Amino acid sequence: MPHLDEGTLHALLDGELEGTEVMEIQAHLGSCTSCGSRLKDIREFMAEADRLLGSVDLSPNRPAPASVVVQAPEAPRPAREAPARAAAPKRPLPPPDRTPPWEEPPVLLIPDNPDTIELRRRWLHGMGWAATVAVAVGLGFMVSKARNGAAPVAAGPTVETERSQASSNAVLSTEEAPRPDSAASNRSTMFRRDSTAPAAPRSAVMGKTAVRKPAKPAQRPAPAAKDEVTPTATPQSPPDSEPAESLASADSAGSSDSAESTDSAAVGREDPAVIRARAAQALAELDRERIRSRAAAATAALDAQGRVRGAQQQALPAPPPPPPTLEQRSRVYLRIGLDEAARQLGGPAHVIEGLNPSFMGLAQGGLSAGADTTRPVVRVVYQDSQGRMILLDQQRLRPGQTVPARRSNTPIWAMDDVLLHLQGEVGPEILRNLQPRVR
Amino acid sequence: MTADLAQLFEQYYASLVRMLYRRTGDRDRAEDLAQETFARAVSAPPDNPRPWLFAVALNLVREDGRRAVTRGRRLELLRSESEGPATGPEVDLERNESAARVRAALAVLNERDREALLLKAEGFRYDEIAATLGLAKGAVGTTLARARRRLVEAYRAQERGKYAAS
Repeated sequence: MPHLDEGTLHALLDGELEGTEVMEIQAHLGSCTSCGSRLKDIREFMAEADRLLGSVDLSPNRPAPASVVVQAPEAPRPAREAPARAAAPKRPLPPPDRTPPWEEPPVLLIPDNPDTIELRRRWLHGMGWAATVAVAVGLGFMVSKARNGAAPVAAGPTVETERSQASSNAVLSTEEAPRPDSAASNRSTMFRRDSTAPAAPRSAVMGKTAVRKPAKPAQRPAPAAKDEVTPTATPQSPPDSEPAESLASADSAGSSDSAESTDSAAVGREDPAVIRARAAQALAELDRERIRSRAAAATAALDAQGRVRGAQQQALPAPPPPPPTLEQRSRVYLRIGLDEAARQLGGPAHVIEGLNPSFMGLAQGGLSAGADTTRPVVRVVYQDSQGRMILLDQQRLRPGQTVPARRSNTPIWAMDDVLLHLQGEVGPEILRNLQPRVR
Repeated sequence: MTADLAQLFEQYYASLVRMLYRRTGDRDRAEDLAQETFARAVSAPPDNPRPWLFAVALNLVREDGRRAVTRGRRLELLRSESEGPATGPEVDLERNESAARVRAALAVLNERDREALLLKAEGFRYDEIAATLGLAKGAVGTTLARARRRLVEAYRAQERGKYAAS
């Protein structure tokens, strides 16, 4: 046999060769030291190459890509809430209780129907305008409150006079009375400052205002003062604390109301950049809501499909275990080549003339009748044309060891100081016919 | 169909990204290419998914590489790592240097050898490698033998160069 090429040796070590090929190669390797030495080198090369490739791996702590993996969605909130939140910035943000994205299972997002996307975009556009109006009105209301808390002394008497004359059916009407120009510019400054200030100081101003209310001349009932703190969040309030949104369109409510409405709108016009920023924020929030709800739907759909699949798999009967391989049936625990067999037996291994062995290996001595149980037997495995297994067990006879008396139907005999035993899945008659062909 | 795709995604996404990362040295690019591969699987569901997915991914790498060359952008096989677990700067540096050398050694291999090696590292059998790369099954052993030898030799040559320089 010529020397084995490198590709064959790699295929051998990769476990890609058939049983007969393996036997031939092993037989050659047993007799060719050159190929044996190359096999050893190749094994080292393979291990080294595997190690090198294994060292280039993805870092485990890196979060997965956002476009494929999405975070576990929170409970979807109604989209209507977004403008309200934008208009009432003093409400604390929800605590960040999400789990990190890389601990979430990956979810594949499948593109939507483009028509649906367009419809949704139009709807979002409408919601964006609604959010802008709500932001303008809400900010106007807050600025007026802040101003009232910060500079009540100069405008105090006028405010009180106006308040007593104003209709009592609107919260803003008590706050948004006509003021001197200086106060208006003061308010404008405060609006800008307020729009960029953090939430806590703003809350402080609001709190101060709320506390101050009862100390003023009792022109208005206490519940109205309470309502002022969260004007847009209480749309079901009594008529005397009507929400600010309705004021924007209540131009005909009376001269005082009309003036206040104009005032609110003026507040909205004062700094359009801020309003746009608020609106953009609200839109972004809407977008996030939309993505979360889509991810939730996709995840739920996948989960449901997984459960259905699992249920189907459980409903099916368990597949029958694969039939045992010839190697398992023959109970050979180690395959060997001809050289190793010759070393075990002190001479060439015996074979059945005219039959091609499937492979050769070592089996426990106890598995062969008459063999020394403390030593393994060399087992040559054959298959007949119907796939039935035939085993030729061989064990070197030690001095003093004798061929045992026949205890079974299978032939046991000695040849060249080797104990031989024929057994298998064929009948004893066939085994006895094969015995003379053992060489 | 969606369920099948989700199953494919769960089964092969990580392996595909790992293979692409070893091939490109750029995790973002690897993830982009893997997503593109799955997007194509949506439009044309494969019969034999694993060879199909990896063949498409490797084709995308080649196309992407050609585009990058025409734009005058160098492929970043040798780019050092910029991210990783916080194991300490020295360990990171050592590991990054080693990974960069392995990728440099991989760059020495010809395209087919490199791809066969990367597929074998993902557990492909010879017949799957043959199907993915359009090789005869009998040629896979020889291809892998050459690829492994060249990879190790190129890496060792770099190691020698490193110690000679220091």
